Amino acid sequence: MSARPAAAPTSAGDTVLAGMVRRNPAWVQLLGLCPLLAVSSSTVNALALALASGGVLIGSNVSISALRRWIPPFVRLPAFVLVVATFTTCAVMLMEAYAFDVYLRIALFVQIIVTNCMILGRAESFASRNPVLPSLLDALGTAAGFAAALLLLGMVRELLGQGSLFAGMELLFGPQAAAWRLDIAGDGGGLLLATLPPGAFIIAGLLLAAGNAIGKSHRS
Amino acid sequence: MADSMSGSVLAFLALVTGCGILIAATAALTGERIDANRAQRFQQTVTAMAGPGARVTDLQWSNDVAHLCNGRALLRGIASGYGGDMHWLAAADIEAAPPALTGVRITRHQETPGIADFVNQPERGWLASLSGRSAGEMAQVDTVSGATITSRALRRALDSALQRPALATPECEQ
Repeated sequence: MSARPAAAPTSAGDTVLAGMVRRNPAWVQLLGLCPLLAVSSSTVNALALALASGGVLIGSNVSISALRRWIPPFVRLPAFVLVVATFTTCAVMLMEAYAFDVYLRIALFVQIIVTNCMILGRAESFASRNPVLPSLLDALGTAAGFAAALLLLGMVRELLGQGSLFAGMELLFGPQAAAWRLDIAGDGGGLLLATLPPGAFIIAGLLLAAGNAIGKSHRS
Repeated sequence: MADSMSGSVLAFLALVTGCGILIAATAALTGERIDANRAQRFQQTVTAMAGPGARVTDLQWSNDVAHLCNGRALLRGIASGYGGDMHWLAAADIEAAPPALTGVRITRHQETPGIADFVNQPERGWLASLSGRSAGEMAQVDTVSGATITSRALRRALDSALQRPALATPECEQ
């Protein structure tokens, strides 16, 4: 069925860790950059998108893995897209029902999770060739890696752009989360560039360079 | 070969059905809450636009005009923008002659993100510049460059809405 044999069995921790670090979808594979750059203007937006993407990734990886013997190889891509689109539609509805204010801010980018090549990539290269449990771990690792990248970028941009951290968390976690807000640079102020799309590219590039430098010094 | 082909088609159809069921179940689970969220958001928008002393519960819409009984009226309508229908809501001062806008909100739209973002920002920018205008004065508001179709459609829709006959006849029992 699959062109290549399943990956050699590895430990659960390795699978998760690989998704988070060695092939981190955002910083190493550079996948899913459109939502990454568009939504990361604040931590709360970044977290909401990370949760939605992660949910879709886990759902699609597990179901594609469970159904892999019944999905005909020559229609596997339409089948994968169908599964991803189904979970995305469900994520959109759940978000509109339970996190309406955040949904209004990032609705478009939740809808285009369906075109996120990170998710289709895991379906094609991992879930369609491996049993359910490793696929779940793979999805968890990849989702955590994507979330870490989104949150890092979101926190840096919010800090530079608005001088605050974790503002608006009450939109996701209820009223008591309003107290999580940290004002670091005081009101107003801030670097406007950091909140705009060009700032997202610049900061993402700098973070990427820093990550590569750390990786290099580890290897040598 | 024919057998495996029809088996594949069946498997694919089963997958489609399964996905459909999952979506229908989620829709059934969330539908009520989504409707409540949207209604609450609409009510918040109305309250924010109505001004002091307005009758905002149980709005009586006739010909897409609802009188607020504080010298203002709400107008609603659909303008066709660049990406499809834009549902708009406006408040007008009907004691002024001719009636003048006091606020405009876009409640639903599919305009291009990044280019027509001003439709989401009622307090500042282009939508706020419509306030104070009456029918015939819309041409004084510049269109937004890059979003000419969007802004022109809104100008035209609001211009004709301000001339609605229903605006002149308040239905308020004291």
